[in-house]
Amino acid sequence: MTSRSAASLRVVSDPRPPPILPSPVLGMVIFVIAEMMMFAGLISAFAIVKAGALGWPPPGQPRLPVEATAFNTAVLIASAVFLFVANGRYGRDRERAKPPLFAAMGLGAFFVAFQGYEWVSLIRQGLTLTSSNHGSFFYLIVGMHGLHAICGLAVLGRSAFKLSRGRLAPSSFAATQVFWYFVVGLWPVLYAMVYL
Amino acid sequence: MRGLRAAIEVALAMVTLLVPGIAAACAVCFTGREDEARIAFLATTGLLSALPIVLIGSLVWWLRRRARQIREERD
Repeated sequence: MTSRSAASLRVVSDPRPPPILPSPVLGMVIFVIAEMMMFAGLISAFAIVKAGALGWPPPGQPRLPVEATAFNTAVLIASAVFLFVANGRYGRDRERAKPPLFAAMGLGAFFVAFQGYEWVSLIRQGLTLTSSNHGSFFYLIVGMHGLHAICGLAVLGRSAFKLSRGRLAPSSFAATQVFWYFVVGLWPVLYAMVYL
Repeated sequence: MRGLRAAIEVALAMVTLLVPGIAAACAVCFTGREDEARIAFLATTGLLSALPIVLIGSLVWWLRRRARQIREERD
């Protein structure tokens, strides 16, 4: 091998320092900040309308299932705990991270399904998007969170698929966790505001 | 005559300035629970004003702290 060809093969070390925060995580954090502002706007509008109302829920409107949703809240928090466990195992043995990751997905799916079941029973009782301000805000705020939970499940599913194929990058998994922790962390706030 | 016209114009201007005070317009007073609504309005205004500063400020603070840590580990 000539000296010229050897020089062309020499690997040039990257002089740039490693990123402070991987790009997928930074992007997800910025996205979550934007989403938090959107939910803050919805909560603010709801708080003003609720404070100005003579009775809440308005007369003739069904009461929300507080106890059943408290149980569902616990289920969602448990899914975050399983994701936390999966993250701990992912650092040591990726194979062992699969069961808690699938458990987190299963619990998240249960949360969404239970919310759907709740919605059906509330619609049957007469709480609809147009029945009152109560119904409008309930379906808007809880529905928006449910939409995020479904997107979170899709992201968790993507991570689980990549993990089973052995192709899950740590930065991608971290970004998934940021989004799911946002979905889980936001829910108790919405529960306290809307249900209690 | 010009003095009278000027006086009328000034009087009209004064009346115009006083009208909004009489109306006492309030964006959140519509049910008789003005105090609760006003408190909610102020609290949510504070929340919406502070939240972006807190969130973005926290992110920038954390990034700076992490950058300093990385620099110290390298040196």
